[in-house]
Amino acid sequence: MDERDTHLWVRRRLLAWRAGMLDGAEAGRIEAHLADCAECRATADALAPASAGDAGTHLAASLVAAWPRAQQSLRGLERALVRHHLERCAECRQDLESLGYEPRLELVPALEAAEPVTASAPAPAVAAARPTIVRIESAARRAAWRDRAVLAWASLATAAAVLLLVANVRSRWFEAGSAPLLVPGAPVWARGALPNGPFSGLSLRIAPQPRSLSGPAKGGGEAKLNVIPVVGPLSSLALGFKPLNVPDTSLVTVSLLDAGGDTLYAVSYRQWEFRPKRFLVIDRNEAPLTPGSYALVLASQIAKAGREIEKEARYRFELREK
Amino acid sequence: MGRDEREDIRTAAEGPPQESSIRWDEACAFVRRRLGYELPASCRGMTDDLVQECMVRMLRFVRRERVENVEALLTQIARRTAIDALRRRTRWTALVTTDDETVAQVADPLARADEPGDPLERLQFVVVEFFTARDARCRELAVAYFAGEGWKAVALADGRSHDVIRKQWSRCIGMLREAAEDDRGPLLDWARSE
Repeated sequence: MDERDTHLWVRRRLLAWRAGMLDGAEAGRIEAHLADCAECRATADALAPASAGDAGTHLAASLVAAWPRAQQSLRGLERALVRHHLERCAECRQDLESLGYEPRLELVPALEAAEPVTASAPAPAVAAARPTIVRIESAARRAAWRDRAVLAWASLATAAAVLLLVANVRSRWFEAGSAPLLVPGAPVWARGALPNGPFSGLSLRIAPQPRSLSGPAKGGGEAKLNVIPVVGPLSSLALGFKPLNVPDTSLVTVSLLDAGGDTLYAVSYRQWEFRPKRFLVIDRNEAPLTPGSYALVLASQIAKAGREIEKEARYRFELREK
Repeated sequence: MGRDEREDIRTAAEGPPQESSIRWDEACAFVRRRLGYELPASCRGMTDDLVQECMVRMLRFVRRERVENVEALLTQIARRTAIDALRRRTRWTALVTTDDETVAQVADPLARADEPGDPLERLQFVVVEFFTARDARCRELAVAYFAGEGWKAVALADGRSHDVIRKQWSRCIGMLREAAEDDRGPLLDWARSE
């Protein structure tokens, strides 16, 4: 990066640096540059923060004062946030009304953010059928279980081959003339016939690949939207997430909500079952999960100093058609 | 307005008692006169916006606290608003560099210098409002930092280490950066990937 590029790089970040928005490495780089560059230092001085008790909690008075121009020039994320704030802040609406302005910001497609700021697009209604199984699995345990299943399958196959051999030999030696009891291709480890298909009994199932959910909302905030690309409805979904920070013996309720906020399923577990590397498997064989928005809510109540403290984390995720 | 400035205004408002009700038109005329004294002749074009800004600041002040001396309050607000306006004029121009190729690609780069409001106040609003909708803890951190507490003070108040607070803030900023990656507004230039 030459000197001119460095100036531009610094200049583009000065405002963010003044607002404390840069990470340590970037901030350090800017500070090092300012120490050497008088021109950039003068620019940075012009942006010195004016700290105020309620900075950022309401629309800037200077913006409210120039509202007609602001309506034309606010764009992108900022425009969406200003509109969202006006919808819920009576004080800012009153400020605008006092100056004779309409306390709202119109939707102008050319100025809007590409993605909605606060809420995901409404999803199609989901069948309210209950999932069949909700369980927590450990990735390590699943691998161990898979190994055990393969070993068991191999052992059974060996045993079956021995049985087959013995049966055939016995039939040939002692019951010559009658049909063999077991022949290759028969369900040697069958415990009952499946309704469809020639194979029955034990089956090996491929578990869904677990998807990690991030950005939980605690309290009343809005969670990050986790997008999970899917092809068609899902009969099984595995979700990984960070457990609540509560004592091991606490009872945690896990709820799966649809886009409308209706609970599709809820189940309670002890916190110790949410050990690291475990994930939640949702099986909905009879009513697969269709593409759309969902929320996974973990809720627990713990008692501290004789007082019940509610802890909650809400993960948003969207099954999006590929 | 800084904390000291707010103290000045508070002190002014607590002066000798005067008529407690505020008549809007009279207050506007008074502020306009005061701004006339404070602003240089080259800035007279800004007076209308600044009168409005003074009135908004006054409204916000009277919502929080009882005002005894309206005239002193308006005088202080007018003075501080004039100073802020002069500072602000250089702020936008400091951010707009016409030799920056990325800015030059904007339809009208110089129009950025005419952006309404203060860039820093606007960015602070964007940050707080963004976290209001997404993450309450990040919002708390942002509000505390913008109030001038600094990360060390925030960590002390929370009983946690400075490092933990820094890391948490870093995660918060990551969320904002992700959301602002494709933003076309002037305040979030820094969030775009290089």
